[in-house]
This record gives sequence, C-alpha cells and structure tokens, in this order.
Amino acid sequence: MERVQTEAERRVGMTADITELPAGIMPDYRREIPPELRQRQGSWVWHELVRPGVLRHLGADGGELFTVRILLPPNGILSAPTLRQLAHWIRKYALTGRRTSRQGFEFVGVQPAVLGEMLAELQAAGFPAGGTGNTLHQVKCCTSFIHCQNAAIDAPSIAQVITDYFYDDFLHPELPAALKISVSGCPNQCGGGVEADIGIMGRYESIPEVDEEGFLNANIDIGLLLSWCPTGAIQPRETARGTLVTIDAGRCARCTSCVQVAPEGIKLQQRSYAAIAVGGHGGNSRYGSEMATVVWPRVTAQPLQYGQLLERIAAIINYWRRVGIPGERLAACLQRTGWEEFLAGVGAEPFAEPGTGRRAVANKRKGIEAGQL
Amino acid sequence: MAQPGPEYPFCRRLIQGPSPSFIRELAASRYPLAMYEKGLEQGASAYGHGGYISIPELPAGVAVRSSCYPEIIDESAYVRILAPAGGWLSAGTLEELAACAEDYGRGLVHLTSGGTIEFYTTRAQMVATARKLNAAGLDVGSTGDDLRCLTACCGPARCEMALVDAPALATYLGQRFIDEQQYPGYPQKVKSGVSGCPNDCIRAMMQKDHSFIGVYRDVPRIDHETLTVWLQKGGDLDRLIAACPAGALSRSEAAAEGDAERGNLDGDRSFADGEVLAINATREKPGAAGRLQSFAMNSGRQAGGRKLPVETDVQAPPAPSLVIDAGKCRRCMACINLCPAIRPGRERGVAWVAGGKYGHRGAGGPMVGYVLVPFIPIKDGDYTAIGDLYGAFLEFWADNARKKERVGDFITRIGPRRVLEELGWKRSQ
Ligand code: SF4
Ligand code: SF4
Ligand code: SF4
Ligand code: SF4
Repeated sequence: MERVQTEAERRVGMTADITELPAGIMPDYRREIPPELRQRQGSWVWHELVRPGVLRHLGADGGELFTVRILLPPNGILSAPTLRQLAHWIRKYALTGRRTSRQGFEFVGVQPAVLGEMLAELQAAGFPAGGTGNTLHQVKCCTSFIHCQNAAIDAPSIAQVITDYFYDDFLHPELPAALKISVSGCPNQCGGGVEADIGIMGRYESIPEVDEEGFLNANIDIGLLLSWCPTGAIQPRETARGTLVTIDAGRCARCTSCVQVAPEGIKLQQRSYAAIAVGGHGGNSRYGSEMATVVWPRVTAQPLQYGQLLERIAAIINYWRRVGIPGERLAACLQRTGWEEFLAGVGAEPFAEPGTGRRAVANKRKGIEAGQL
Repeated sequence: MAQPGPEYPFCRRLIQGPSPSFIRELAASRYPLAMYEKGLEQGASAYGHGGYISIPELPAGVAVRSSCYPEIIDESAYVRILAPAGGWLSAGTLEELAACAEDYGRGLVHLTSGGTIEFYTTRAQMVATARKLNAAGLDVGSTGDDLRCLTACCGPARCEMALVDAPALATYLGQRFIDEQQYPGYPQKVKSGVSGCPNDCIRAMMQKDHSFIGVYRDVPRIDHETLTVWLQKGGDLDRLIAACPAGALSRSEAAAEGDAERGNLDGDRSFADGEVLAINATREKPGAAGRLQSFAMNSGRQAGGRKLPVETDVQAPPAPSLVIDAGKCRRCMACINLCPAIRPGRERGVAWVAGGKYGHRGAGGPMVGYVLVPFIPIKDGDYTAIGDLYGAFLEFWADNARKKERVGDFITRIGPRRVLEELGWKRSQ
C-alpha cells in the first residue's frame, strides 16, 4: 500500500515511498497514570506541605493524595540501576511517578500508612525527600562537559557543589520562600538561568576569534552569520581572497551565536568564567515573568574551583534571609528593597546598565551586561 | 555503590558530598568517565561539534558528538526520546527505559532540562534502539530544526490549580503534529509547552517558542464559608490582601456582620476577548481591563444573590470578609495560591504566548513570549481550534522566517499584529 506524503516530508523533500517507516508515536501520558488516580483528576481543591518533601493534596470529596519529592543527581543523569530503584519505590509505595520540570522526581499517590517507612528508606538510600516550599529546590543544570561541546563552564559539577554546600537548606524550610538556582554551561542556557532566583551562566573570557584560513575555506553563509549576531558586532570586510568578517570587541556580547553558525571560521578562546544573575521569576502569578539581572559578570569557575561562586550565592541568600519577609521570593524582595541596597548588601559593585556604549539594539536585551569586561 | 577509580581525581571529589551524585550514576554505567574527567582537568569540554544527523530510517531524534580524545572514544551518539507529557513516568516506563539503555545504550538515561529523555548509544545501534522504544510505546524525535517535544505541567491529575488539562492538550498537539517532531524541515527549532494556569510551573512562557497557558476570564470566586474556616484557622487576611498585585482585594465591612453572600458569577457576565488579560507579562498590554465596570462580589450589588448559610461559631468574632474589584483584577493566581477560599473563575481557556527563549543566541537574546491571543476558549476538551491556529502559525513562520530565525525574533521583526492579521485572527473574534 502506498503511503501519502505528509506535509513535513514534503518540506524536507522526502518521498513517500520509504514504506518501512512506522508512524510516529507521541506517547500518551495517560498510560503513565493508573486509573485510580485518573478518576480523581480535577477533584483536587487545595494542597499543603506536610513536611519538607511531602505534599498533601485535598480533594473536594474529602480524599487526599500524598506526593513525596526527592532530589535527583544533577542534570537528571540516572543509571539503569537507579531507574529500577525508582520504579521499585513506585511499586512498593506509590501509584506512579513523575520527573519535575526542575529535574527532580516525585512519587505520586503514596499511601499515608507507609509514608514514614518510605521516607526512612529514601533517606537511607541517599535520596532524601525535600525541595518543596521554603527550601532550596533541585538545582537545575545543563549537560556541559558530560556531553556538550559548547560549554564554557561545567554546570553539573557546579550544581553538585552548590547542592552539597547548601544541603541543609534543601532539607529544612528555613528560607523566606522557595529558592531556585539554575546553572548553564554557556549563554545558550539549556539549563536555564534567566528564569531562576539565582542563575549561573558560563561565559567565555574574550570575544570569539576569526580564523581567516578556516573562514575562507568553509562555505559560510555571511548573511546568516550577520543576522545571528544580536549586537551588530560582526561586520563583513571584502579582501582579495574573499569576504571575511571582523568582530567589534566593544559591541560583542559574547553570546557565541557566531561560533554556532560558523564553527569552522570563528573560534572561541578557551578561558572562561561564570556570570551570576539574580531575581528571575519564571511564573506569572503576580507581576508576570521577570528575567534575572546579572550582578557579578565575571566569577572564577574553573572546574571545581567554585569557592567564589559559593561565597556569592551565600551572600545573596544571607541578604534575603536578613531582609526578606516570609513568603517573599527573591525577585519580589529585590523589587521592594531596590537594587542599590541589594548590591551594597551583597558587596557587589554596580556596573553599567545594559546597552551603555552600544547601539540601541542592545537595550532590548536583558540578562546580558555590557561595558564592564 | 559504584565509585570512580583513583585515575579520576576530579570525579572522586564530586562524590564526597551528602547529596545524590551524578558521578555515581555515570560510574554505574558504561559512560566513558575518562571523557568527563578530561573535561574537568582541561577546563574545556572533551566533546566537539557533531550535530543532529538524519538517517533514512530516522530523520530526527538521533545525534552525534565528535570527540577531542579519540583514544578514549571516537564519537558519542545519542537518541532523544519524546517524553510523556506532564513528566509522568510510571514504574513500567522507567523499567523499559532502563532495559533499553542497558541493551542498546550505555546503561544511562538523561532526563534533560528541556523535558525530553536522552540516552547515549552508538551510531550502529540507533535504529535498533528506536524500534525497541517503539515496541514500548515510545519514539525518538525532537532534534534539529523541527518541532521539539511538546511538554506540559503535571495537570489536573495532581494539581488543584489546573484551569485546563495541560498534558492532554500537549499530547493532542504532539499526536497531531507528530511528523513535525520527526522530520526537521523548519527554519529553526521550535519548542512548545502547555501550562495549566498562569503559575506556569514549567516556565513555558520563557523557555518555549510557543506556550499555551491556562487562563480564566471571569472574576475569581470567593467561598465565604471556606474563608471563615480559613480565617479561624489563622489565615492572614492582611497578607492575602497585600499579595494582590493589582490592589483588587479589600475587606468587605458589610460581610463582617456574618451574612456573607456568595458572589454567584456563573453566567452573570461574559467578557469579550482582549478585554481581560490574565497573563501580564505581555509587551502589548491592551490596558482594556480598565474598561470593565467595577463589580464587587459582596451582597447588595447583586440583585437576587443567593444566601449562603454560614455556620458561624458563636464564640468566634464576626469574620471580616473579602471582595474583589473586578475592574482592577488581573486574573492572576496570587490570591488563589494563598487562600483555599478563592477559586479561579469558571470561564476557562488558554492564552497563546509565542516567542519565548532562554538562550542568548539570535537577535533578541533571551525573551519572554508575546501574548498573541489572551483567551482562546476550550469547551469539552476539544482542542481542534488551538491545533488549527498552532498549525497555521507554524506554516506561516516556516514560509516567512529567515534561516535560523527563532519564533521570538521573527515576531519581533514583523510585529505581533501582523502575525495575527496573517492568521486572520481578529481581536473581537
Ligand atoms: S547551555 Fe551551552 S553548555 Fe549547556 S548544554 Fe546548552 S549548549 Fe551545552
Ligand atoms: S559572540 Fe555574539 S555578540 Fe559576539 S560577535 Fe558573535 S554573535 Fe556577535
Ligand atoms: S502551571 Fe498551574 S496547573 Fe500547572 S502544575 Fe503549575 S500550578 Fe498546577
Ligand atoms: S486574581 Fe490576582 S489581581 Fe485578581 S484579586 Fe486575585 S491576586 Fe488580585
């Protein structure tokens, strides 16, 4: 039987005669939720925190549903034995499980009678419950050195060190509100950063360098390259040998877009560091989403030399503990107290506003600082 | 428990802390730990540019990274799996993934920050891996310039805030646009997410090119009976009132007498599209909310309002009560998150937000999406209209975007108004 060419196949110029291609499968999430939970879908009216890591949802019919949240290793990296361990805990104690959007894990539908036993078993196995309410939540991060070529810094090891260092804050709800930290290895921000209370992002030391030979030899789409540069830092230049480009160091935001477009001709310098941004808030429950603002543009983050990062994160948390009112997220706290007081409180120097000394186009960007490098 | 040997000094330092260590996971698998150790030692990734590849059997969902240390590994391939929406993973699925990763990969599964599931394998095993996954009801996709895996928040199976069934909508869109997730043919990648309410727990508005966010457009409902109980249990009314970003909440003195009446809003009013905006991170604030008349929810204003029998404890002081100024209310979730007596309005749908992205690449850098349509009603779980609109946009963008132009940069360039015009969407619709 002949298959009809689909719209997507037409777009990529594929013919419909590769008949052995099975139809694609978008998995049905309903398979993951047992009927007894699906039946109660939509019946929840409220939830409360029973203790760190344990949520109780209350149903309109008086029913309840317990969820236990645990911390996973950074970057959602799980070996087959650990996956089986999670599956075993679901079978033993809960109805089903889910990975959270912050790379943590939840057991949903835990029987209250076995809650104590479950928490003890999780604790003993090194996966204690926590990361709910006024605690440090799972530190989200990208893959970096584990499997990515773009990384300026290594997000998973930073996430690991942060989680170890602030481990008590993960277990004990003693912060003014929830604290979410995201770490990304480069400005691509796969692991997030702009959305978090504290975002850490890898940056390269200097502007990318044009490798003239490589550039001329590769068939680089100059128009595409220019259009990808957010700040207009790349300018074309005609030479006898062909079109080359120059990068204006004053304008370059070190976003690495150009390296992505033309890896053969534009190369990164190896030295790198981290930028710390503060006060992001991805949700939309009050004033709308806020992007985090860079407070320290350049912090040492050579692998495992993370003391300076930890010091600054601690300064932010301590400031927030000092002036934050209960229930107030870091972003709201900053809005109330103002940046000047915050910068003084954490010992950071104010630096030029985004766009200073740059063309107006740079002003549209938040989360990228300028003029201080 | 698996431990890296003495030849991995950097890795060994990362298993000493109290929290679950990813090094233990790597060491418990066939992942080439020497590559990661090299990266830490050199301060630079041991992987090089590789990329998303297309093989005849698998146009998307597979990729390779080249290696800077061929003596350790010559290249590293991986498959990307479309994940069940809402992050839901049953014991059976976890076991399937474990078996598949062991038999066809390196015994390691990666729950990515973007919401997909990946595991490392070899080029030779890719097709077999995909077939094995197919047998388990899973599939690969979501790489390169295609539609990336549709993600969602946990939805009404677990969350009381859910205004729409986010995983169901994401699954509907994922099934309808499955080809687009498996055949890269777009100018650039395009990510999408569905959140059940404006809390947007998955941060879809910022991370995704397209997000559908559950919203309501009538005024939140106050259940005065529950409010009384909440206050008796120590609920903090002042904090609740202070939490409202619009100053729409106030005490109702009339209700303090104890004869509070429920604001029965069902069918009382309907709002035209564009009048009310639940999502306030828009760059195009219509500012039309001010046109709404003030509509207090307490008694008196509402002829024929039903009396609600309130069981007042004679010992308790008369409970103060609460009113919402409908003209000021932004239909957010701040009061609803704090107080069980306030529930979202009953007229529900989604806001369509387009253009979000975290990354610094592309003209606009990181951006929060544009609210293109603030309210698309959903009736009886019928998502066809949303799918039509989404499909129409994808086609419009595919035909008109520059090469490698993300949705946000595209909309910034041509203007959100033009997008809506091209799609034939009228504000008054
Ligand atoms: S943020 Fe950068 S380093 Fe991290 S995974 Fe993405 S591209 Fe790689
Ligand atoms: S790094 Fe970014 S800002 Fe700098 S030249 Fe390249 S594209 Fe332009
Ligand atoms: S986005 Fe809303 S509905 Fe979805 S999980 Fe969060 S609070 Fe619940
Ligand atoms: S929904 Fe938001 S704006 Fe409306 S009353 Fe509640 S807190 Fe205020």
